[in-house]
Amino acid sequence: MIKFVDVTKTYLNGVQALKGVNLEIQDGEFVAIIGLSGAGKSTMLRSINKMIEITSGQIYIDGIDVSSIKGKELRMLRRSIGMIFQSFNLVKKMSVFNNVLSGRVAYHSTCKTILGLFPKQEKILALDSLDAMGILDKAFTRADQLSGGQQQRVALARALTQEPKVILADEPVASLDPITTIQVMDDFAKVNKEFGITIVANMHHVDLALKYATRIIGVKDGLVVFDGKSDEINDQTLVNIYGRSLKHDELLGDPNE
Amino acid sequence: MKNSEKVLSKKPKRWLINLIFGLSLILALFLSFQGSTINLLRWSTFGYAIKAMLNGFTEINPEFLFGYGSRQFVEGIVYMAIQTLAIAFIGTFLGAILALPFSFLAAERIVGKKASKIGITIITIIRVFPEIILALMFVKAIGMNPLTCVIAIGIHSIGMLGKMFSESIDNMDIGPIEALNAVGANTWQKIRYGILPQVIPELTSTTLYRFDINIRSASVLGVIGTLAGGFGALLLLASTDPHNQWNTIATLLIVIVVLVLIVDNISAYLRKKLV
Repeated sequence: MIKFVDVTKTYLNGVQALKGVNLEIQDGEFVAIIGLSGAGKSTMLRSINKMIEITSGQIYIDGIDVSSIKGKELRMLRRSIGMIFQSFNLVKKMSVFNNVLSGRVAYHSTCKTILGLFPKQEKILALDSLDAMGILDKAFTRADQLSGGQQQRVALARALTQEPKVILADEPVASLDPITTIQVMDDFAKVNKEFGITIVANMHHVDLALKYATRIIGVKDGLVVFDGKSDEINDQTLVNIYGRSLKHDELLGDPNE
Repeated sequence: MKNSEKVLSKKPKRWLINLIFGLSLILALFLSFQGSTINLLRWSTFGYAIKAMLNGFTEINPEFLFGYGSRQFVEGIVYMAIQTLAIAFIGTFLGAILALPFSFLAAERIVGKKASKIGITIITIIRVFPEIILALMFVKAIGMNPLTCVIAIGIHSIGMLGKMFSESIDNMDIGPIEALNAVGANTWQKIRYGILPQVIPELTSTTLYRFDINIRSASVLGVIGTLAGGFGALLLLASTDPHNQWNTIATLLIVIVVLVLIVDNISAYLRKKLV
């Protein structure tokens, strides 16, 4: 369970990204955070695994106060939280397999990982993750040989190999074309349902968020202005989140239409 | 007056700046000639010397080049070629290993802007010392042997390799490091799985290029003494011989050219494969 208690974040340049956020995310949920650029979505997501340090308040993950831990304790916490990025963040000159296996490094001593010594069952685990994402045949190609959608699947496989309880996704499909977007979102849904992993994702596309997420959190100017099931979203709630209603061409649209 | 003519009349007048620049260049050349004591009168013997040198290439000593007598194998040209290659190879390897920590210290991405200036300065200072000076210094410390040349080449190589390594590190993609942070990796794991796999192809390519340069250096470094290894000593002996052994020098130069050409082609092929 992830719990925000009066969380605020003020950046050094004075920008208040979060102005007192309170919320709880239960295990197994698929949460989409929506809102305008600069509303605080990314800050909210990244403060969960302390990639960004909050100014005040507390964030608890299964009872552990994230803001109070550092060093090895923090690394052990991050080990149990997968993270997906807009630009995939793979080492492009390294094989897909090694990229996925690098999700395991925090489970082993520095010496063993520097020598590249991973137990056989973990190598199998890495390949299983690739198999679950449908790209097992790409295991020993270089990451830069893959398309954007395939690279994001490798990133998902890397996160799965961590055997996480939660996966955070920061604009996971923002740099993909509409058709690849649907495929990658289907993979997220699979990870959520089959592996029972909690997913918290920042989304630009409202219709995608409504289709895939079980819960929507609308953020505006550093505050949560909507929090509820996706079917509770209507034009009025969208006006609250975005300041105006969305036009048809601002939705991703169904590529099958 | 038309607009174009007005603009033309306002064209910046550069002739004074050009004149000053031109005169300074002529003055600098004149002063440099004065300082370097180039004696124009000796040019009469220049033509004779060139002719003698070129004659050397027509009288290559095949016995010297291809002879495989028992003495030839230890002191002959094949042995020396292998020794030259070996000195360059170990020297380059040593240089690359030593350059790694310096390059991390000089990379803005790793240590920040201010601290990287210190690293860059250290690398620049190392680069200032020519190999031959380093070799002469190490003769005092460890005596006259091939190891002296290896260390001189290794240390001098830090200059160029360290600078280019640090540039590779500064140009890498920061995304994978962010991902490894999120995975819970520690500093060493981030270097091993985030930095090294990104920069090693470029580092290897740079090192191969440096190997080319170091073969040439190793060929000449032997001038510090007959026991220092490589072609250098023979080149020195032959060129200072009053009987001007141009045929020996020509033979040696041809061997060096062939050696460099071979290594150049192999390394160009490998570098293309790497990056």
